[in-house]
Amino acid sequence: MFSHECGNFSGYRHWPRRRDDASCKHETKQIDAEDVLQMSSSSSLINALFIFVLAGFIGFEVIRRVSPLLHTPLMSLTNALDAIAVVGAIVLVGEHKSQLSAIFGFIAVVAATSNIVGGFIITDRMLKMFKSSRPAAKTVAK
Amino acid sequence: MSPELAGGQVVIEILYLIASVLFILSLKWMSSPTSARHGIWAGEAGMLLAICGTLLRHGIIDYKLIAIALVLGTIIGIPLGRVQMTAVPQRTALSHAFGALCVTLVGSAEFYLRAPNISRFMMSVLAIEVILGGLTVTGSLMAAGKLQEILPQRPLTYKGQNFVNFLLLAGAAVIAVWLVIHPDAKTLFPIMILIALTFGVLLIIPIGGADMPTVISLLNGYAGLSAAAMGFVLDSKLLIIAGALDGSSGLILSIIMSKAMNRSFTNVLFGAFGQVATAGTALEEAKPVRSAIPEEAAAILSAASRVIVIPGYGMAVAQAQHKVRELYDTLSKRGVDVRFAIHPVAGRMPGHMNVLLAEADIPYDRLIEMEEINGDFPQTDVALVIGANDVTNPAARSDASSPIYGMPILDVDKAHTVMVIKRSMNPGFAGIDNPLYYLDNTLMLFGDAKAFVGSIVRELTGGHS
Repeated sequence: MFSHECGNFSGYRHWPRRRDDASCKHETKQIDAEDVLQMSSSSSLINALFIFVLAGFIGFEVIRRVSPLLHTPLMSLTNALDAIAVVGAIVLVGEHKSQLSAIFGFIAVVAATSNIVGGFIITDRMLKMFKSSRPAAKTVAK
Repeated sequence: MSPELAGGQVVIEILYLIASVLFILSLKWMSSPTSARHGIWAGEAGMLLAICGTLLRHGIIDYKLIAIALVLGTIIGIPLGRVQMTAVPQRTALSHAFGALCVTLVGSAEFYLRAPNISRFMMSVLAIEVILGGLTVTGSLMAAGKLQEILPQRPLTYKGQNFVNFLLLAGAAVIAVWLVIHPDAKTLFPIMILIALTFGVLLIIPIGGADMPTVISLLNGYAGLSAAAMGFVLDSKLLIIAGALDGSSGLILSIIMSKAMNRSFTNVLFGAFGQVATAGTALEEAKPVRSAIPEEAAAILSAASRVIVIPGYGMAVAQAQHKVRELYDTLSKRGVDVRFAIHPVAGRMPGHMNVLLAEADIPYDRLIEMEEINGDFPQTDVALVIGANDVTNPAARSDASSPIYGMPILDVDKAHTVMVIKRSMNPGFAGIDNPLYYLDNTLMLFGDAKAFVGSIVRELTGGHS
């Protein structure tokens, strides 16, 4: 069922919405679909990899500089930011493509939102506690 | 999917771009306590933009259900943000579980929506997403249970543990590969998730309390990486960026923690925790220790001019941080220079001690990292150890047979006088005897940390006011 099973082929560049598995007679269309699927995903793979590696690099450089004082709030903050996965879940719920995807999406939105809300609240509470003993900061704090 | 983006989509993508920049700034501002709160605002703004952008998306029809879910999440989230500071480690573990749950559910839903029309690459990332997500869900729940003491904190080990774990992981990998080749084998998908969930439980079973800082960091990293994988699946750059940031944060913290415990990073990555054998303990015949009562301790402290306090998990358990602040205030008023030495793995999560002491209003410029303060111990009159054990154990420097040999420690023993507040002579979690307690310059202060510090403070203030 994959492209190499039926030989190589490439041509039309339309995105197949549906593929009829039974119609193996329509070899050309079948192969084309698979090829495009693989090709377009491999080019978006490269894009995505670039972004992933560069973002990881930025993350590494930025987080290396975070004061060890703040490692606990850092973790709760990254947890809140990580809950941006909520966007994927929102799409699942909103598009309502199937019963299952809507239910899974719903639970996922709840879980991620509670992370966002809880994560930001507790990070803020923790950071408010960190006070300096220097006089200037003290007058502000107290 | 089409190369030409519609106008609305451009707006959404730009919102996502701004959100990504705000996320990076948010982490950048965490570099210092003075700018850190800007970081939260940036993070919140980025999150708001991203969610609004998503709601603008074309295919979204069911807004009511989204609204209900958002409200429900907020209702759950508020109490989770308002927990006691002492409960922060388990709260953090719980939120790793929630984050991973979201990723795993979205990944599963995407699989059932798309299968069998899934390219090999997509299926591979999807498998990574749900396996990492699944094991993080149960692993984090287990960690939270242990930290909350719902589950026994003692590490549970059995013969062939690593083999069983390896077998499970291999099983999940085999199914993943099978699904990559035959994405129509839908029935295998739940089995793969089940294995990942089981693996998460088994991964945390052998973990003891002292390993928690590393484990929490590692789970943080896993949660981030699974979110990044989800970004690949959904072709969402924002998600890839946020996941990569979170993943690198978790990995950096794991590296710092593993270095502070003298474990190699690969050792940590493959979860070979909890193997600090109880060997080498063989509790020798009770060696003589010198102990002191609060009056004596107070007298020594009031005669000192430089004091370093070494807090550990015991301080957190006894909730002694506020009493410690009183001691800090009293001594500071008398002109004693009091500082706090923070070992990276003191407590149950990275930065745990800093948060507790900050909560007790101790200024953060008094909290000094290990590398910075270690050179000062020889000029220190009193080192006061409160509920810390392994991180002060000189055997790590001198005794090659010790299980913690090579672990960087606070050189407490070099201070003129060492005072250790401890409940009894029982060795800590790791079951390693601490030669510090038998030194000539060490005084053992037996008792509950909170009560003992309280009586020292009473002695100090009572005598003079």
